[in-house]
Formats: sequence, C-alpha cells, structure tokens
Amino acid sequence: MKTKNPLLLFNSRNRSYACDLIWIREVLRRPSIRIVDGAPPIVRGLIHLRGQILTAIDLEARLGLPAEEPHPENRCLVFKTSAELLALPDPPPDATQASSDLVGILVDNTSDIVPPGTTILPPPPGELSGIDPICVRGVIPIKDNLVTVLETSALFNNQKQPTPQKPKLLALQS
Amino acid sequence: MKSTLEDTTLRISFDGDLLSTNVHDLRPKLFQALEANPDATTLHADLKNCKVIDSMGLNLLIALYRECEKRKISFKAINVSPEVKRLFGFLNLTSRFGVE
Amino acid sequence: MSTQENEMLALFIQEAEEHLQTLDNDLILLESNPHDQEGINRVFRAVHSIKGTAGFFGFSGIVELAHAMENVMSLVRDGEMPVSPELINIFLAATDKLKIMVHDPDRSSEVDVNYELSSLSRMLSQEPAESKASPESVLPSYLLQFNIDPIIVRDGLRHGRNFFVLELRLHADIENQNQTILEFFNELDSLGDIIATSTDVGLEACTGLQEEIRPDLICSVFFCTPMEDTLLLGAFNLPPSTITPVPKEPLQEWIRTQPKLVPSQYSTKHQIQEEPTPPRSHQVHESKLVPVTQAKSRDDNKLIPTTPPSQEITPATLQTRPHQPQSQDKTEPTTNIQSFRIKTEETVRLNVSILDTLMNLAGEMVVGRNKLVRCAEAGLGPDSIGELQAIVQQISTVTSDLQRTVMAARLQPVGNLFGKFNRIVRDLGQKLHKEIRLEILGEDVELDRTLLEGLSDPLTHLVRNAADHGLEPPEERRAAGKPPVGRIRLAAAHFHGRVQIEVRDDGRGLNPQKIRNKAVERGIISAEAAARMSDQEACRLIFMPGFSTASTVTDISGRGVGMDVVKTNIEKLGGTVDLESEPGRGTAVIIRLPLTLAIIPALIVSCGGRRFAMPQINVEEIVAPGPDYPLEILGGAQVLRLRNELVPILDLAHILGQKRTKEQDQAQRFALIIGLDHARYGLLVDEIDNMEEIVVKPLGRLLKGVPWYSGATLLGQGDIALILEPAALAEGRLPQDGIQDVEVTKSQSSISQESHAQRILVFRDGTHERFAIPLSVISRVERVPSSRIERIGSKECLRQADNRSTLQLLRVANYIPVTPPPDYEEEVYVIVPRLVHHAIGIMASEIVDSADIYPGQIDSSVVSAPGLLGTATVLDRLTSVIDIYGLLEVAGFTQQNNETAKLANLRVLLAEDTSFFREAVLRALQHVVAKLDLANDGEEAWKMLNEKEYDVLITDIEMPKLDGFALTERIRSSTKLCSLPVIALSARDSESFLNRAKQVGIDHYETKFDRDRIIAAVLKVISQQNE
Repeated sequence: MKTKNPLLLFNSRNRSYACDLIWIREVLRRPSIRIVDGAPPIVRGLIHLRGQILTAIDLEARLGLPAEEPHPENRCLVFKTSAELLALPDPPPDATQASSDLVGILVDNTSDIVPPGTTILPPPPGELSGIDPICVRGVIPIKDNLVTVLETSALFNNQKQPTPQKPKLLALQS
Repeated sequence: MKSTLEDTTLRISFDGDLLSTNVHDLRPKLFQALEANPDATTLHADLKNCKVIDSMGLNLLIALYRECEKRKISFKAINVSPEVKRLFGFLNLTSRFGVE
Repeated sequence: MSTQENEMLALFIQEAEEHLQTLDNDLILLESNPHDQEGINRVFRAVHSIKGTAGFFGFSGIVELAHAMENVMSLVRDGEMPVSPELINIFLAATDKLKIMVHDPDRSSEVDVNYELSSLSRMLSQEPAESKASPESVLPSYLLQFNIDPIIVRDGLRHGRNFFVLELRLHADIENQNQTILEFFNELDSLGDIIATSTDVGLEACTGLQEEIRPDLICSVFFCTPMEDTLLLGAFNLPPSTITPVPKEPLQEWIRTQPKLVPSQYSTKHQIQEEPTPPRSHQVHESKLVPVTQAKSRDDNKLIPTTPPSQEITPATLQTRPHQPQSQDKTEPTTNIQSFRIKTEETVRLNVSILDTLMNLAGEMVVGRNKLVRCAEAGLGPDSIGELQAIVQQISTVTSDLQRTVMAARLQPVGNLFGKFNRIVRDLGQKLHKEIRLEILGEDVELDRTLLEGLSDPLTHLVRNAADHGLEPPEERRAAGKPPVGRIRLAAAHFHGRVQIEVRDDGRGLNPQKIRNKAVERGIISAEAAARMSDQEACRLIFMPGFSTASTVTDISGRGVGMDVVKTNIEKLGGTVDLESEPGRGTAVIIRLPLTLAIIPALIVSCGGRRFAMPQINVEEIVAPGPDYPLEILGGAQVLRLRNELVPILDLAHILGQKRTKEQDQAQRFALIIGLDHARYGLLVDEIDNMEEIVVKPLGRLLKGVPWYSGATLLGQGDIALILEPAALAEGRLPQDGIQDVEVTKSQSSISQESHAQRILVFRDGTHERFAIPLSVISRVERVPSSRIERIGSKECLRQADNRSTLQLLRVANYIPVTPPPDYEEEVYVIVPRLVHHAIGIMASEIVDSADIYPGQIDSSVVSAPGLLGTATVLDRLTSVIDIYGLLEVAGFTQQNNETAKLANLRVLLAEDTSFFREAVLRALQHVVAKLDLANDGEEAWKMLNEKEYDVLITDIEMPKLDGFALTERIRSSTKLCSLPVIALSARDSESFLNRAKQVGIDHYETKFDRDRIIAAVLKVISQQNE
C-alpha cells in the first residue's frame, strides 16, 4: 500500500520508526519528565506543556519490547488528541481511536520526513518478533535500514488495554 | 334618664354614655320605670345622647333586654349612633336589639 | 424577530418549564395529601400562570389545555371537587403534554391533547361530591352558635388563612387592656375577618334588672386570619385560654355541603384579589434572583415560595424594557415566532450575590491594572520592586477569587436533578404495580453544571433499574418480612473533597452466582475465572459490556442499555462507579465524582525529591517526629506518640516504592496527621513546602489505575505535583473496624513512683465478673464483629487487616477459674497487649471503663490462680486484676527453657520502680536464679551493688533519683563494678535511647517484657562474659 500522508522518521533505542505526521501535534526538546511512582511501566512520567499535563509513554514498552537503559528522553513526540484530529478539515479515518487525553512518546531523535506515496511493505517474517502486531503497519526500506511504520491509532487505543489480556476485574476503584 | 310613655311604648332616654360609672344608678331607675308602666308592650331605649358604651353599659342594656323579655315587652334600641351601631354589630346584638 | 422578543420567549419557556417541574412535584405531593389547601393553591397558581403567559404570546394550544386544568382546579380549590387519584393522573398526563408544548411553543397546537381535554371536561361536568352529610353535623359543636357566612370561610380557606374561636370577657380581657370594646374590635377586624360573633345574653346570673350587674359579658368570635394563634394572643395580650384553633377539614367539608356559592359580594375590604401574594412564612433571602428557582424538599417547611409568577411576565413588567416588542400586540406574535428555535440549556440562572461579587472583583482588577500602568509609567526606581510585589500580590488574590467565583457560578444544587425523579419514580411505581417511595438526601450538595448534565442519564438508568429489577413486588416483600413499600434513596454527600452520589434500594440485592453464570454464558469470562472470584468481584461483572441480568428485557430499563454504559458515562466525567449489595437487603450503586473543575487548597510536600499535594481538608496537623513526638515500634508497626495517643505511621516513600538513600531516611522528616472518616494516621514525608490553592487536573487514562493519586497540578514554577489520595494510601495498612484509642499513660516513659496510681482498664468477659489490666501494657483495643473470629483447631484467631499476621485470641475464662461466658454477641473486644513477644489478643465482651488503682489496693492473698495478681475493689465492684505474663504462661505461650539451669547460681539485682514490671521480672527469674534482690531506684541500686555481690544487674532506664544510664556510667567508672553485666529493660526503643545505651556501656537492651526474652537476655550476657 502507498502512504497517503507524510511520515515522520525517528529513532528510539537503535531502532528506526515512522508514523503519520498528521497525528503529531508537536515535538518537545529535552522535556522535563516528572516520574510517577507506582505508574505502570509503560508510563515514563508526566510532562508540563503550556498549562496542560501530558502522559509520556515508553515506545518500546508499549510495543512489547524490552525497555533498556538508557531511556530515550531527548525528544518527546506529542500526539494530537482525538478531538484535535476530528477538528481537522480531513480527519484520518481512525481518528476516534486516538487518545482523549494528551500523550506522547519519548524518543532519541527525529530525522526526515517521508513524502506521501511511499510504498509500505509487509514486514519480513521474524523481523518484528516481539512487537505487538497491531501497532505495526509495515516496513519501509530506507538506505540500509528497515524502518518500522507504526499504526499510530493502535498505540493509544482507547478500547484495549496496552497489553491484550483478559479484562482486569479489579480495575474498579476500591 | 327620662322615661316617657307614648301609647303603649315606653321610651327611655338616656342622658349620656352608658358606663360603669353610672350604670349602678341607672339600674334601679330602669327597674322603677318598668314597674311604673306595667301596660307598656314596647320599650324604646333612646341612645341619642349615648356615644360610648362600655362593658358595664352593655351589661345594663342586656339586663334591660332580659327584663323586657321576662315581661313580654319587645325591646328596641333607637337613635343609635354609628359607633354604637358598629359596636352592636361586632357583638352580634344588632338584630337582637332591633337596631335598624 | 428582535433580540428582545427572542429573550422574552426564552424567558417564557424557561419559566414555564420550571412551573411544570414544580407542578409535577406538587401533584405528587397532593396525591398523598389530598386536603392540603396550600398544595391545591400552588397547583392552581402554576396552571393559571402558564395559561396567562402563553396567552400573551398567543400559544392557543397551551392556553386551552391550561385553561381546562385551571377550571377543574378552581372547583377543587373551592372544595367542590375532591382530589382523587383519577384527577391526579389526568393532571399529570396533561402536565406532560404541556411540557411537550412548552418545549417548542410555535408548534404547540400540533400536539394532540384530545384525551386530556376530554378527560378534564368530563370532570367538570360531574356532579359534586356525594357526601350528603347534613351541614350542621359537619361542624364542630362550638361553631354551631354562629351564623357563618360560607363565602368568607371559603375565601379564607382559599387563601390558607387560620381559623380561630375567641372567647372574650369584655371587661377582663378587653377593657382591662386600656382599650374600649370598639377599639379592640376595630383592631381585630383589621387583622383578619370576623366571620361571626355571638354574645351570650342568656347569662344565668343576669336575669334582669333586679340583681346587681356583676358578671362579665362573654363574646365569642369566629375569626379568620393569616396570623398564628400565638401572634394573635400576643397582639392583644390575651391569655391562651381565650383562643381555640379551628381545624380546616370540617370547614372544607361544610363548604362542600353548601349550595353553589357565588363570587364574593362582600364589602370592599374583603374584596378577594385573584392572586394575592402567598404568605411568606419563612425568611426568603432577598438576594435571591427574581424569578427564583424553587428549592424543593420533602419537608414542606423548607419551601421557599416564589413571588407569584403572574407578576413576572405581564405587560406591566415588560414595559421596563427600553424597546416595546412588537408582540405586545397580541395578534402579532404567532407569525413572527414561527421560525424561531431557542436552546434554553444555554442560559443559566445566577444567584445575584455572585454577580455582585464578580462586579466587585472586576473593580478590584481595574484598580490593580491601573496601579500596574502607573508603576510602568513611573519607570524603575528604588521602590519599584517592592511596589510591584505588592501589586502582584493584590492581582494574584483577585485572580484567585475571580476564578473561584466563576467556578461557583457554575455550581448548581444536585437537588435540581434529584427532584425530577419524584415524577419518574411515581410513574414507575404505577407502571410496575409496585409501591415505591423515593428518598432524597443531600439536595444542597453542589456540582458543576457539566457534571449534573452528565449524571442525568446514568442516574435515570440506575433508578429505573432499581425500580424494575431491584425492588420486589409488594407480595414478595411482605413474604420476606419487609414493608410493602420499597424504598429508593438518592443521596449526595461531600466525601473528602469528592462528591459521592448513591442510588440505593432495599430490594432483592444482587445474586452473585446468577451473575457469574450469566457472565460465563456470555463469554465475558471463563468458568474457572468465575469460580475463583469473590462475591464482590462477581457483582462487579455487571459493569462489563454485553451484560444484562434481567431475564426479560423490559421497556423500562431498556434494551442494550447496560451498566457498562452507566460506567462509561460516569468515567467520561472523570468519576468512578462501585457497587454494594446484600442479597435480600438491597443494592447500592455508588458514584464518586472527582475534584476536576475545582480549585482546592492543598499542602505541597516533597518526598524522594518529588513534589506532591495533599488536599488541605484531610490534613489535621503537621508534626516533626522527635523527642516531643517520638516514633515508636509497636507490634511491628511504626507509630507516633501524639500527645496522649498513638497514631499509626505510614511512610509515603515506602508506599510509593521509592528508592531511598540513607541520608534521606536519617534526615529530619515530617508527619502529616491525616484525618479520614474512620481512621487517622501520620504520613511521613521529607519536606513541607507551603499551602497553595491548586487547580486540579485529571490524570490521563493510563494513570487512572494508580489509586494513590486523585489528579495532578501545576505549581508556580511549572513543576508538576501529584495530588495524593489519602484514603487509598492507607488502604489495607491500618487496623480496621475502629480502633478505640486507649489512653496510654506515661508510666513507661516517665518516672512513676510506687505511691502513684496506675491506670487500669476494666472489662467483662460475658458474665458479670470484672477483670482489669493495666493500661500501660495495652497496645490497643479493637472492636471486631464476632464473625471475623476464626477457629483453627482448638484455638480462636483473628486475622489482621494486612492479612499477614494473625492474633491468637485468649479467653480469660479458659485459664482462670471464673464462670465461663456465654457465646459472644455480634461484637467482641480484643485487647492487644504491648511489649509481648507473641501476637495475642484477650477477648472481652464489654469494656467497662478505665480507673485508677494503687498497688496497695490489690489483695493478693486471695489469688487462686496464676494469671491473676489479686483482687481489688474498683468502681465499687470486686475486680480481678490480671497478670498478663502469668496469663500468657498459663496459656502456654512460654516454653520451658532448658538453659535456665545455667542461671541457677546467679545473684541478680533488679532496679525497677514500677511494680507491674517488677512483677514481670520476678516471675521470670524468681525460681530460676539463686538470688533476686530489688531496688526501687538508681541510688538504692548503686548502694546495694556496693554493699553486696551480684552477678547481673537488670535495670530500668527511667527511674527516680538516678536513672539507668547514669547508674551504668557509675558502674563502668567503678573499679569494682566495671565489668558487671548490665541489662537494660525499658519500653523506650528510640534510636537515641539505643545509642545512649551503647554509649554508657549497657550490655543488652531489652524492650520486651516476657519471660522468655528476659531469660534469654540474662543467658546472653552471662555467656558473653564467659567468653
């Protein structure tokens, strides 16, 4: 399939990724992260963004990969909320699946923009073992690298828990 | 107090207000008047000069009324001033006293 | 159409909807109180007002229906038609139609109201009530003397006046008050209506002119007035015996028996206005905006009457508007309004006081800004910073106030929402053939408007559920021994900064097994998972999507509208939903709404280098643990001695799982004393910053599962502070079921003299026999439901709240020859001793009291068993004083120590001033060592040490004259005694004490007073010496 929208390339823990540029609200440089004791491991902490509080996620943790040190903290990709996406003149089809509150992922750096019309290939077998498959759309070969193209809407999917499991019955506040 | 007999009507004219101060004197006089006119069939209590009646005065009038009742004399209060009429009205004595 | 017309129409709709809302409630109330004249009047006025204003706008459909209702209500008001259930039903149906019409008035004529109109006209043509009771027999006897004008009575009833019969002695009661009879009556007449009077001319005593005129004339007055009797009596200084209130029901009955009455043709004074102002029997805050939302409650006394609606939208009031609207001419409006649609939800009613506050604040803002402008213009000078700071301070304050006021403007009492359910519940009851009563509590609790709006649907669903599935039909309830009327309760309350809303019914309750089965059936969970679940967890399954426990889906609770939708809706508001249910007793759904959209004062603290905010409402005080507020260990847990009580301590760093450095732990820390509903505890943090007003921001979805935080906030410098949830922090870490704080005297830590009294706790265990234990050996007393006591073999145990430790329970009767108690009632007390090696609790059926006892009081000659020190008369009763350590021994909690043989030759000196603890050591060592001498204080001990030979010194620390530390110092400096083994025995275990003990050369420091430990301690120091 060919991309309709431009993609943003970025790196996290020696892996290259890409996601739809339209989903990105802004990129923060060296944000100050407030660690939340007791938070699930996928949450790196909270970041203050002009009067709002955003939840910063660890990308590898979300994907199901080991979240090795050093933890990326150079850049934070802040995502648009579902409300912001729906307010666009041409919202992406899965906009309702975006997060309703402000979230972002902490990465090492951002690099190029991949123009629309690029072909996304299905991942070679074994290449993406360990990664939660719903988060991946495919791969794009760039130079000598295979860039993993993320399915952004799945990253912060409202319906499902981060790790698919039987519903947690104790989720209700005691 | 003056009492005059006109035909069968005994008219009692009071000189002034009917108050506790003069009621005591009036009572025997009224009694005398009635005794002196046994043929009277009607009694008119003329209250022309009577502006104020207090409870004793009322008492007197009622006693007079009762006395007339006993003697089968019809009782009527005449020349009743507006204030007194109002008072009678409050006490529901207007019709009983034959006030017009 | 002009803006004015739009506004007027919007106003009409809003007010009409309010009238209709209260009409609903009034009709329901009238149903239960069909003779309530005031209620009848209210319904009449509401309908009349709607008719009037609708007519002004030309909404003929509304006018026709309202007019028919008004006609019927007029008959009811005059007593010519009774309030029947049929009437109520028709009126409610008509009210519903009116609501539809008022919602879109331009199209009101399109609404089909034929049924309602024909029902109403049928009622109008009906014969008056059948009650043909003879008029006189209806009236009370004391009224028969009067010639009563029914018109005045009717009018008086209409206006809610009071009726009295006054019996007045013309001289004694009237003239004695320095007034003429005429004056009195004139004044009486001005205060009400004299319906009739009667002067007794047939006085027994007065038979004519013959007797002295003595008796006072008595005049009876049948009087009607808006005044209360006390007021009336006071106005004329009449004795209470003169007044007899007349009940209204017989008067109403009597009116009904009268032939049809014509409108009053009475004198001008009695001219009845069509709609006079209703009596204001209670203070109405003048600041309330006119027109005012009627605050309704179950208690009619709280009803705040509105000013009569008809005075609001009339041509007269409209003339106050600058421009005359075209629709003043009644033929105009319909065509102009046709295409107009208004969304009335966009307007809001405000309390005038809030507007005033906003005006003031705006003014202060202007002042601040002007100051700032001047400051900027003046340029930088030596005083600039100071001035600026002052201005910033002021603007800061005003901004906070502004924010708070605007937030307050958004708040509405939850009663507005709850009130709608009166009608819903009534209709549900009828439809389901169940008797349901709605209780409303906490209607004054205020919520932000968005929250209220968001609650409407979920609450409706929950109430419908309760009525439909929760409550049983009356026969079933009776069979179960319940009252036939089912209750649904809507309650709102503030609960630690949150708002808690409850929908509770006293119906069947949930069936956990049925729910489990359904869940498995629907594939929501596996059968194994279901089996593993507790009942509580199983009940929560109903919140899962795709669930419905109804065997038939009725149209009442709807198809596919499940509890999961309720949960989602509530969570969208940022709240939580939970369940409580007891089979056969009922179910409660508890909604907790968060602090979002709120500014709260909070204490900012630091822990582990991170900032946190604790809502001020929970913080009772801040304490720096140290010598004045020592930290101690008790039963493995840390506690703080706060003046006279012990407060459990929780370490925030520990709860949050923070990694700590040694420096952090050893630095001075602070304890926030947190007060919860059922518990108090101290929360240890590193630093206290300051108090701030914080804006509460909700945490993202991913963090909602962390129970310790209720939100986050941004501090001044852009720092993020997490807002702590004090109840969650303590969850599972504090003893449950209510701890009775036992006043621990300072007998351990202060110097107690032999002659001083000891505090003891007196208790019973089933029988009337009384026992006592010194308070100083009690850690705490817990009150526990007997159901929590578990049997393991022949022993009884109580599992602690943290599920990790168990108390073994002792009954005094098992070890001491006393009458064994009957089985325990619902609750049992567990006395947990301190400083005891084993985790035990002594059971008691009742704690009698605490008392003082002098050691000399204890009579030990009668001691019949180990475990008792003796008997004493306490609180006028013979009480057995328990020896804890003896009791433990008898109960088998100590083991025979084979090693004690090694101590057989020892000569021991014990320096201890407190008799109870002396006893402990005595019992432990008496028969184990060769010689055991006693010293009362340090000086005496020093003397004895120098005079005689001892192998071991066991000493208390805190003693009079010379304390244990000083004694040890002397010993270590003495050539003779410097190598004497010294054991310190003391309850004080703080770091400072332990350090000092080491410093002065104490060999062993023991805090536990039981036999085993003491013997072990002695053994240890002896063997150390031998090395």
